[in-house]
Amino acid sequence: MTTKIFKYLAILIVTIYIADRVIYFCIDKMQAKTLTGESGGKINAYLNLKKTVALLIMGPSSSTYQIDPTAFKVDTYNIGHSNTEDAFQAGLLSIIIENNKKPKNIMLHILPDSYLSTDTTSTVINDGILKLKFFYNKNKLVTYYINELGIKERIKFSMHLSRYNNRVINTLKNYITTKRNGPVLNGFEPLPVEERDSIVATINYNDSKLKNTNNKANEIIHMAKMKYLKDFVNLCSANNIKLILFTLPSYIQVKNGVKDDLATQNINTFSKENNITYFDFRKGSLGGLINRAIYWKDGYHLNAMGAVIESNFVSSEVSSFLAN
Amino acid sequence: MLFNSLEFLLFFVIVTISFFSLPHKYRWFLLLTASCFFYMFFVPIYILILAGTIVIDYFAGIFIEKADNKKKRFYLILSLITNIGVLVIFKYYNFFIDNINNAQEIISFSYLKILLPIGLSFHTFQAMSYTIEVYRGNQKAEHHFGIYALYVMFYPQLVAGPIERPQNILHQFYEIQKPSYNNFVIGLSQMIRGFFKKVVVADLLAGYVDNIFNNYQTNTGFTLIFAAWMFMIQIYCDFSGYSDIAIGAARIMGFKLMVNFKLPLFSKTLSEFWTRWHISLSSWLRDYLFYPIAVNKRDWGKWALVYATLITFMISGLWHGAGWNFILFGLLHGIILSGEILLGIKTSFFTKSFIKRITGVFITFNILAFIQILFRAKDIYQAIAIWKSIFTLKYFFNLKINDTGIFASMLFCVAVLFSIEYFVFRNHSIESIEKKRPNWLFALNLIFIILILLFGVSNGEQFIYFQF
Repeated sequence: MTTKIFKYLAILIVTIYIADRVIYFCIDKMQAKTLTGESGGKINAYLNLKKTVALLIMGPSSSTYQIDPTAFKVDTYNIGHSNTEDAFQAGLLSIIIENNKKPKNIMLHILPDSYLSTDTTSTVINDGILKLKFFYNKNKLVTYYINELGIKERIKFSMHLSRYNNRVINTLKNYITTKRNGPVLNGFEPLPVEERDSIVATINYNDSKLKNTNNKANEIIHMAKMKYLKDFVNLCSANNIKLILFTLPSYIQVKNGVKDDLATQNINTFSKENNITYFDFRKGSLGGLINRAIYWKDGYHLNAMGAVIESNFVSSEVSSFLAN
Repeated sequence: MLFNSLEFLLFFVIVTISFFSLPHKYRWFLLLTASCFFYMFFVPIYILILAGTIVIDYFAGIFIEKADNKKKRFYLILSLITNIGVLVIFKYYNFFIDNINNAQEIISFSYLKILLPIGLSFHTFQAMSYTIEVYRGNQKAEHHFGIYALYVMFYPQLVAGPIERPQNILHQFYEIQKPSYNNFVIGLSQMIRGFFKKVVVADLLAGYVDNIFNNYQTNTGFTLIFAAWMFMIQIYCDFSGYSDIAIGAARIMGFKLMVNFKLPLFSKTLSEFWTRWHISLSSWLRDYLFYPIAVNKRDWGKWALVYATLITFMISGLWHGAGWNFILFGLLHGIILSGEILLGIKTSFFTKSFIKRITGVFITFNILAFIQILFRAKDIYQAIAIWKSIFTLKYFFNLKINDTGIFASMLFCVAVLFSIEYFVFRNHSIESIEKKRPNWLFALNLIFIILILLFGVSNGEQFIYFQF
C-alpha cells in the first residue's frame, strides 16, 4: 500500500516538474516578445531601443503617470512602474546596465516618507523587488534581493512558474497588444481626464485631514529601506550616470503644504552626503500651478491635464542640471 | 499555524508520518500533542482556556451519564454555562459594554483588552454538542480524557471546523488506521482543491474586494455590486477551502470528517443554501436550537417555524460576530427564509427547467451578496453607506479595474473553479471520481497545482472564519 502511495507521489512530482519547465519555457518566450505593459514589456521596449537616451525617468506611479518625456529638450524615456520602491529601481537599473542601455542621466522619483518606519527591527523589508521576479536567475542583483527575502522565497522560486506568478494574463495581454499596436513610445502613461476626477481628489483630501491626527512621532529612519537607495546611487556612480532625485507633490500636499520634517531632512542630508541634486517639488511654485481639483485623478496622481503642466515645470527646472 | 503556509506543510508531513509509524495505543497522544502545538502557534496562553473547558466538559459528560434526570439537567446546564460563559467573556463582553455605554452616560464601563481566542466559537460549539448528545442519550460519555481532549482539539478542524458531532468522530480515534492508497489520494485531492480555493481564488479576490470596500466612499454603483459578488465568492472559497484542507488532511490519516459545503453558490433558494453552506453549523443550530423551539411552539402552526427561524438566524448572526451588523445579517437571512416558508416557495419549483434553475441561482446569489455586505462592513452604518452608494444612479454604470492583468486572472480562476465545480463535482464526489476515473482526478490535481503556481498568492491573509 505504501509503495502505491509513493509511486503516485513520484508520478505527480515528476509530472509537475515537467509541466513547470514546459509552461515556463512557453511563457518566457512570449514575454520576451512583449513590448508594452508593466509585466516586463516596458522594460523590453526600452532595452530594444536602437539609441541610448539622454535622460531616463524612473520611479513609482507618480512619475509614470505624470512626467511626459516630450516636455524635455533631450531624448527622454519614462520607465516608471507603478507601486514600486527602491529595491525595484536598483534591480531595474542593474538590468539596464547589464544590457548596455545605460542613459547619461537618471531622474529618480522618491517618496521621503517611505524611508521612515516605526518597525526598524526587520532588516529586509522590500518585497517590491518581486515585480522583477521574471529576472530571477537572469540578473544577479535581482536574484540577490529576492533571495534576501528569505528561505520561503528561495523554495518558491525553485519552481520556474513562480517567476510568472500572477503575471501570466498580463503577459498574454501585453503580447497581443504588442502584436496589434507595437511597442510603447516613450513610456509615459497619462491618466485620462474623467468627470469624477475632482470628486475623488476632494474625497481623498478630506480623508487625509482625518488621518492627519495620527501620531507620526514614533517613526524613525529605517536604515534597511535606505540601503536600497544607497545601492541605486552606487550603481549610478560606478557607471558614470548623473543622478537627480526628485519628489512630486500630491494634491493633499499641494493643499496643506509640507513641513520640514524628519523625512525631508533625511533626504536632504542623504543628497548632500552623496553629492546628488535633489528637487523637492512639494515646495516652491509648482503647487500653485496644480492646486485645482480638476487637475487630479485622485488625491495622489495628476490626470493628463495636470501632467502637462507639471512636466513642463519639472523640465524647465531640471534642464540646466543634466549632463551632456 | 495557517494552512496556507510552508510551516503547516512541514508540520502535516511530520505528524502524518509519525502517526503511521507509531503503534496505535500512542497515536492519540501524538495527535493531541500536535494539536496543542498547532493551537499554540497563534496565542499560546489561550490553550489554558481550552484546557479549562475541556476538563469541565469531560467531567460533565461522565456525571450526566451517571446522574438521574434532575441532576443530569444540572450538569448539562453547568457545562453549557461554562462554554457560553467563555464565549460571552471573550467574544461578546465588549459588545455588551459598548451598548451599555452608548445607551447611558452616567457610568462608563471599561472594556476588556483581550484578543479573541482563535476559533473559539467552533470548538465551543463542538464541546457543547458533546454534552448535549450525552444528555440526550445519543452518545456514551467518553472516559478516556486524552481521547475526549482530542475530540475537541483535533488539529485539522480545531480552529475553523467542521464542527463535529461526537457520534461521528469519537469512535474513529479508537479505530486502527492504516495507510490507505484510497484515503491518501482522496485526502490529497481534497487538500489540493482547498489550497486552490484559498490561495488562488479567495486571496486573489481579497485584493480587489479590499481595495473597493476600503474605499467605498469613492466607488459607486456597479463597481460595488461587482465587489459584493466577488466578496461572496471570496468568502465561499476562503471558508470551504479551509474545510477542504481540514477534511483532506484528516482523511489522509484515515479520519472521515463531515462534509461542510455542497456547492452552496448553485443554490436556487435561500433554504437550499442553508442546507449546503457551513452544514456543520447549520445542522448544529437546526438540531439544538431550531427543532426544540419549533417543537415547543408547535401549536402555532406555520408561525412556529417562522418564530424558530428568526430566533435561530439571529443567534447564527451573533455566532458570526459581536456586532449589530452581524445580528442584522442573521435577521435578514431569517426574514427571507420566513418569507419562503410563508409563501410556500420551494426549491423544487426552480428545478423544472434550465431557465428556472438559472433564475433561482441568480436571485439567490444576489440576495446573498447583498446581505453579505453586512458581513464585510465594519458596522451597520458602513453597510448602509455602501448600500446607498450602490444606488447612486448618477455614477451607476462603471466598473473599477485597478490592474487589468490581476482582474483578468481573478475572473479566469473563478471561471475555472465554477466550471470544475459545475461539470465535475455537481454530480460526482471525489470518492466516485477516484473509483471510476482515477486519471481525471490526477489531471484535476495537476491543473490545480499548476494554477496555484501561476496564480497563487503566497503572502495571503489568514482565513476569514478564524475570527469567529
